Amino acid sequence: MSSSTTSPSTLSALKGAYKGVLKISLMLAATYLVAQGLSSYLPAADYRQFFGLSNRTTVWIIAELHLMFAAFVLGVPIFAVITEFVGKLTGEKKYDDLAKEFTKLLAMAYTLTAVLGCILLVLFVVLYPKLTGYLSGLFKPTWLLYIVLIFGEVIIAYLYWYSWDLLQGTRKKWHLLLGVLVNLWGTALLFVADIWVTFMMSPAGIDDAGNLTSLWAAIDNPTWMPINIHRLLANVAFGGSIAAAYAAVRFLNAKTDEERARFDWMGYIGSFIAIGAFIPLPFAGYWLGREIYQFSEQMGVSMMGGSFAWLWILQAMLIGGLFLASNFYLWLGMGRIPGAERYVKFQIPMMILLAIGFIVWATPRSIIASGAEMSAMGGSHHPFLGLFGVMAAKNTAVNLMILTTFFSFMLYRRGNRIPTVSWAAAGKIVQALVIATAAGVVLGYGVYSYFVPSNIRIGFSVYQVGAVLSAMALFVAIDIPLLKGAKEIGAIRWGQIPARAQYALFFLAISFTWLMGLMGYIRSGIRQYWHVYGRVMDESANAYTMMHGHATIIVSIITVTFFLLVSVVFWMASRNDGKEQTA
Amino acid sequence: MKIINLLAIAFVAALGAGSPAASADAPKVKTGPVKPTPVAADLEAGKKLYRRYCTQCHGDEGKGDGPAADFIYPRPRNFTTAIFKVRTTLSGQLPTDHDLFHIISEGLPGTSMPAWKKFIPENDRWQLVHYVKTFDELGLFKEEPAKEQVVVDAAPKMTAELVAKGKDLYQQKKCWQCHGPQGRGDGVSAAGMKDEWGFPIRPVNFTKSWRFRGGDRIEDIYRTFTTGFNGTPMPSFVDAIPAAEDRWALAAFVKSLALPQKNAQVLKSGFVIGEIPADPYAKEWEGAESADFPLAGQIILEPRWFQPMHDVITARALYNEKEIAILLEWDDGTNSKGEGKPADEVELQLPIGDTGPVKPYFILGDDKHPVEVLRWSAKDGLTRLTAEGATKLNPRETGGWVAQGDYKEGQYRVILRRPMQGKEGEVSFAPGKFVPVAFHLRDGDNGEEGLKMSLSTWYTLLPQPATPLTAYLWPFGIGFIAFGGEMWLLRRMRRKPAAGSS
Amino acid sequence: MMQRWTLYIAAGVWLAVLAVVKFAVTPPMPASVQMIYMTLTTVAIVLFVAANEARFQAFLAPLKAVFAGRAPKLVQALVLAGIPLLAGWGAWLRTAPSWDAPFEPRVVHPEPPSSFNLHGQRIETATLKNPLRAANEKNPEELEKLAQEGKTIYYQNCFFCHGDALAGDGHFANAFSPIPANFRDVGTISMLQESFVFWRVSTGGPGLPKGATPWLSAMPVWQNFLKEDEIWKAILYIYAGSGSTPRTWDEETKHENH
Repeated sequence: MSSSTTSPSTLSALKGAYKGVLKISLMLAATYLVAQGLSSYLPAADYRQFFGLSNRTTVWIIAELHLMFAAFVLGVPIFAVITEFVGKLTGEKKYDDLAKEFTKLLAMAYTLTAVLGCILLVLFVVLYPKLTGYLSGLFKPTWLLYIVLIFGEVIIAYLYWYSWDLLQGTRKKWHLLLGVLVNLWGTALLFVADIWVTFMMSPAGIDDAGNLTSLWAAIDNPTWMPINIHRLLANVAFGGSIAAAYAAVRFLNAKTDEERARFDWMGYIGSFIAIGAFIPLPFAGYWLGREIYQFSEQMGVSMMGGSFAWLWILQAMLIGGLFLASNFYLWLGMGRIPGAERYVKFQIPMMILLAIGFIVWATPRSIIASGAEMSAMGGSHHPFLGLFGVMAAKNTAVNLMILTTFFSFMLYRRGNRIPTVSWAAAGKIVQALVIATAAGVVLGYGVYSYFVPSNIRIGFSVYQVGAVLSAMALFVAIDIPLLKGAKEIGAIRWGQIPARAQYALFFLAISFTWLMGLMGYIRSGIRQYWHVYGRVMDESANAYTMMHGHATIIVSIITVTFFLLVSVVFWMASRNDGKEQTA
Repeated sequence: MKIINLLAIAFVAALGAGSPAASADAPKVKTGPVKPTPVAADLEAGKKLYRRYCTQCHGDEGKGDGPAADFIYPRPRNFTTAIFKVRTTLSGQLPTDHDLFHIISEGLPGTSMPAWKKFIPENDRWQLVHYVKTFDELGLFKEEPAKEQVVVDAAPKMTAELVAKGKDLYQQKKCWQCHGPQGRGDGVSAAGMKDEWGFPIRPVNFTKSWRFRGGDRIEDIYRTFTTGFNGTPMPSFVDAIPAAEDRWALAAFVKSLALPQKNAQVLKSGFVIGEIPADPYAKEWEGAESADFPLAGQIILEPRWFQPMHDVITARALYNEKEIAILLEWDDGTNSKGEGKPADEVELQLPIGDTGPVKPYFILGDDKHPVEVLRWSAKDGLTRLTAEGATKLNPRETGGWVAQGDYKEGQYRVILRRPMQGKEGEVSFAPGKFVPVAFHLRDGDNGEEGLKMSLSTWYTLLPQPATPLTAYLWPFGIGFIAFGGEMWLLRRMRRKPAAGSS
Repeated sequence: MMQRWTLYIAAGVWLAVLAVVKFAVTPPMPASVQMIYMTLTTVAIVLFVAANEARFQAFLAPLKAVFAGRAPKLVQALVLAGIPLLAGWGAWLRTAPSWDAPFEPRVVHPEPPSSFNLHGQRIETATLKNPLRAANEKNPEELEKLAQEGKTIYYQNCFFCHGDALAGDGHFANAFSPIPANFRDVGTISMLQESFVFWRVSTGGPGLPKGATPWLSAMPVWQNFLKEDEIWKAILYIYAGSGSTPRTWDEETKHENH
């Protein structure tokens, strides 16, 4: 790590980029040599073992960690550029500082991502030589593209960081352009990497013998685009939540009020972006799920209803927790907004709605019950709880929770403002009606869906989601002109937030990470004993679906490892920060 | 001879009561006018509903010969003769519309007639009442509909004296001749009974009150004595026991015999110090916790068995350091020892060796997961088999197993015992360890043998250990930690009251 | 101002929810669900209380009074003794052995295999359609006739377990575990494709994947008893008789394109 000083000169920026290229070249060369060396040294086989470790678990852990860091280094720049752009628009320096603060986290994370990627590559070549040989044979052009993209990404990213102070003022637009390029390149990298993953799930463009018939068909396989979009959104949410967690650490360790104010604000922005990207995520997931069902109903059923169903309950619990945590954070945040006490009265009904929503959302479809309880219920279905177990109830609950959280945020937004426009009263009434209508539509369709057959019912979720999304859009469309030129009761007292709010940010980051690990496992696990679903069978000893307890433990190990590594990155970043101040 | 006589008496009583002359004597019983029918008939609607919900058993023509009729016991009612068992009218009379409505709505316990009120709206059930009456070939519903119905007063309090009085009447009036000395349906004349249509019928076992056709409230039992079950050997006792309070006493006694089903998932085996009694009637066994396991006909593998006699088996278990013993008991009205008909049999099914998360198939295991079957037969006593599926049964020496069985007053009791520690190819029992068990029963008199049997699904047997010390230590530990935390907080806050507020 | 009573209101709400969860629902909720609901209630109450500084301080005030020694001596003694006792009692509820049967996780909706054997022939699940329904799509009378034939098959083979009213409550139902499916429940056949039902009927309990406890299911292997078209007819009947329709993907796709 050599980013301790960033004196604004073209030379140092180029030098930084040059170092980055050198580093990545050395790493790739080393990877190639190690992989080649091990392959020729080890006896030829379809599968190899690795110090007696399960080759699947090894690959799994490294791949997931690589993916998480990749998500981090792809998510953070998206986020940094948005913030930087806002800074340029508003002219407020704190936005620019925030963007830079985030970007600082990047350099180290890039290195870690690359190291993990190289290890992963070696593992593939060494542990799964046959499969790796087959896939790289199919996708040779994309591998070359990937390497080119990596070099491009490294150069641009390093330039972006090292030219920060250089390209200020009127030259800011060039810096922003660099930022956009970083993101475009990152997204391209993601899309290329997704080709291989999605091909293994939903192979296309090959004939029965497994020979390539169309490279483009293999690339544009049914799950490629949905996973691209899903991952892109998730990366932003993930990047935001990690940044917020970083801010929380700094807030808790802050010595001065000024520092506290700064990191309080940073945590708020991070969590805001995370939640913002999180809300459309289920829709992308729904698209992906549909593609999976259409590709293979069997894979779909085993994902949602079959052996993986239990993991979705865990997922549901975490998502419900995310809603509670974000409302908790917003409400505590309202404590530092003068005038927001006007809206405290809404918290009781909102919490009741959230709690009931969560309860319905968390009611399991397959209830865990002892034999005695089952016979009391007359089977594994509870006549009353069964009503909450079905998708109709869950959709209704989650839509109402989204709406409540959105409402919370809107109250937060106008906390210290009193609209001065002439039509303020009418506007507020319309806004209230919009929210009430959306809630009515959601609830109405929710209840109605118990009375119609499933093929009609399934369409209702679209109306429910549509109602919520359009209510949110309408509300905001009224809100912006409504608050234009509004009277401000007082400035937000950044930093004056109870310490416990920061733990909500930690929860956010840990839940996101754990969820990524878990969902990744499900996505990969539903292939069951296939490498390439329906085409190339896993013939190794690991071709079984493991117990859920075991899987969740590994996901937890991955999460803990990730946070340990991220702590190192944070620590390095804050250490440099200290140096900067003393310099 | 005796049987025939009794039957004759019963039928005379039943049919005689139906004649106008007998009705004239009837005022012994308090009656009241029949309640009006609330819904007018719409026979077209009734026909449609009948086709949708009833024909499968009762047949298109109401003859009780629908496609399912041969597969169920008791057989579905034939409506053409207009004879109905459960009524509020005097013996031999037709049921009221409300009686029919009640049967359709609530179903008949112990049969495959379900409670339709859950599925058919009230109005439609009335239409079914009207439609069912049209099958009456003799036109009786038109000519002599019931005008009076029995009034059942408030039940007296069920006291010990009342029950004792009922018990005397049970002896005096020879109820035991059909229903047996303990009311288990094993009376001397129980075997071979037929109903009016010539189908076999068994006296009810009073301990299984959940099978009482007319319901098992004391009022229901009283009503049954008063009205009798038309078409069956069960007569009205109005003539034999004219005093209503006597019939109430008998009803109270019958009610007192009922043993509510105590279904359980785990057969808990209690620990005994010293020997486990070999006598199945020893009082140590009375102290052991009993569990009932419902049984169903074996309708899963060929030959399928649709009309099993047994629907429940009761088990208890005891263990000491060396041995475990399982007491199986079940009621059987007939003691078949394998003469002319198959012998009565009970089987206990256990896995061979320890099972992981995967159990053997619940009917006699499978290729990969064999089971052992301990069979006690009223004829041959204990045999042991290994089963790898229903078609692969192999006899095996009985090893450490010992069995002792007895039949008394309509009930079998069989003890199976074995050392706790299993040998090669046997499962081991240990305190705190759950072992899967399943049960099979065969009533030889009903022609049950081989796969023609009643069976249960897998349950578990647990030699129940003493509550471990840690179960007590945890609460104390946690309470203590909480107290420690309190003290710490207390000291901190009382020393510097200001420090606690941040 | 109500805020003074925050602690007591919170405790009261918690107890009220507990009472509802424990006693208001019949049949009683399984302990696992009670646990989930009470955990969520606790979390919601705690977060609500902690989400506003003034409220939080009001909540803590009575506790602080006890710990700082400002509360009456009797109250102090009661609270200080009560908290460890409650904690210990709560722990006892967890640790006291109940000797319940070990919980067997069971997949209620198992995934169908990609293909299975029927009378020695290989059937691909993905492309499987009910041939009788497909052939008579425009001919409801014929379909009704076939369903009526299915009714006879149902009542000679299935109703002992699945019930006279197709509600999974036949006279043998309570002896089996898992209990037979209730076809009137919206969560059973109405959310399944007919191909799934056909697979379950044809291969029965022993055809289930391991996670769905094939050794416990009492569902017979119906291809041993019935011909292929008989199974399809019975399937027609269970949908017609329970008033439900099978799930189809085509319709959903159509629906979504609107």
